[in-house]
Amino acid sequence: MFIIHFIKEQAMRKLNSIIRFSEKIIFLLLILFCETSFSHEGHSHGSSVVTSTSFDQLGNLWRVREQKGFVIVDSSNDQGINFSKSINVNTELQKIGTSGDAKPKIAIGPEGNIYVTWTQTLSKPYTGYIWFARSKDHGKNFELPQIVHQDKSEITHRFDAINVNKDGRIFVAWVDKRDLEKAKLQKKEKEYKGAALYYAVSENFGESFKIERKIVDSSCECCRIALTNDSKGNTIAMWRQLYDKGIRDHAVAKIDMNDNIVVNRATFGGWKIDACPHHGPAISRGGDWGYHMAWFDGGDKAGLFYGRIDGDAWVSSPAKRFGNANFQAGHPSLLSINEKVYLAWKEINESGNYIVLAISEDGGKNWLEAKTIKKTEGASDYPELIQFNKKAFLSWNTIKDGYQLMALE
Amino acid sequence: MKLKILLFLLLFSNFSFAYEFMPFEINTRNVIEKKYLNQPLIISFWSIDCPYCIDDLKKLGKALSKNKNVKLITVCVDGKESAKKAERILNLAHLPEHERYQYAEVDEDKLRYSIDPTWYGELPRTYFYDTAHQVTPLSGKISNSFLDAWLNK
Repeated sequence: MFIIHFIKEQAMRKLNSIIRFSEKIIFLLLILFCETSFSHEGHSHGSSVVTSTSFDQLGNLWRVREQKGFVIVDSSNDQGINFSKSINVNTELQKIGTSGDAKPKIAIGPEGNIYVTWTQTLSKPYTGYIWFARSKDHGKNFELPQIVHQDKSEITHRFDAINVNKDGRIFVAWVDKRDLEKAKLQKKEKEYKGAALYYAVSENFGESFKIERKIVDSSCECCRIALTNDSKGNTIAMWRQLYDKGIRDHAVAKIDMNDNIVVNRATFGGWKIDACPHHGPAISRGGDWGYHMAWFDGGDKAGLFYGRIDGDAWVSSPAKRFGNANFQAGHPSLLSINEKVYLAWKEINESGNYIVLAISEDGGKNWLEAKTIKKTEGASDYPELIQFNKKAFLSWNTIKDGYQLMALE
Repeated sequence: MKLKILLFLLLFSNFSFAYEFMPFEINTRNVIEKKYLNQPLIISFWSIDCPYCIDDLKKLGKALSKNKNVKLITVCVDGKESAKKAERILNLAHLPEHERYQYAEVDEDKLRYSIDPTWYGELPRTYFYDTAHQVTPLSGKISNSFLDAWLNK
């Protein structure tokens, strides 16, 4: 009797332990599924192809990318062949803007500080925060990131752009919809069109930012902003602006150190569209006369264009067409070194993506024949032109062929 | 306690299975065209990042509830990691039952080029196929006058 009871008890114990074990397995499996579903919302593609780079004063190349919900930074001291172990800039997992014209940016101050900005995508559609982080020890550590705007409502703050001037003054601009949201609440008769551009400035090398200010109303909602400086260090911005009757041409603004803002229309393509173009412009300072500009226009005359604009009267030259519109010429980058101007853009055909480069040796008046300089078969980022010691480089990230840095003649 | 956690997790994991997007690949546009041959068809490309897109989808939903002969296909151009958000936004549009696709190609540029080399990525992008499959592509907001004229063609 006792033996039977003992065997029964043993069997029950075994059964119980099997049940407990299966429970644990189910529990773990469920956690696994949930993790998967959470991480889907948390990041994109595993790692995105978008990359931004900049040289420091010693010629080290600094690179920022997005990987699994983190903004990561690494560097190369052999011109992009080998890179250091990357470090995470944000401490907590975020969904980081990397689609369309969005990507994390990197800039280096004259004192050697490394600055990174990015857009955190929030859960409501089209919403985000603009984050900023700095490293004061040459990229060994990044300080705790901060949101640059004081308005923390869950609305559009997206498409960050950063510029550091010769004195180390940091200027961060972005697309902001606080005025649209306000207009919606007030139910004004005249509908608020587009978004707005805002900016925040740090005059203490990234320690803190002054309260943000508005550059303009009715900017395009989903195109990157291009920034540069005049010779005195004032900020020059170029972006796609919404003009009357839904025309999306480009504007240029000078925002001086005292926050005086002068906005002028810079392009006259007349692309009329109520859409998100996902094509932002490029700008680079030329000689004393003004600026080089490159941009994309859609519609009947779709294509990539280049023009010059002077920095006093803000009059632009006639637009000159570049690239092959049949192969989606777009997403330009510009770099001007003395009289030499480099214009790079991306095209696509059946066999892959490639970068085309055009060079002018006389400040953009005449151009040598454009040449395809890099190709890849898989996905690729838009090109970036960067410089070190007055020497130009193409910086381009690809999935299949990895990161490419190419010295330009 | 364990049961509560289990139920909580079950709730989330259920959500993760709720997506019903079909993968949109290089050849998908051709497949759709063949499948709905001799039928009026609208293929609408949209993104979770595009405020104009949701307005357009709402407009299409409204118009198609009265024009049930027109087949609707929506294609979300954001990758599958955005499926949850995409589904949430798409549900706001009150669209009729339809085939929902989502980009399933890492090289989005190449995919877009294969769909239409004259489309530069602007969104919304909508293709209107009449019964004979004469295609009218349209970038940006769909105007009421265009939509009425097309539906009454």
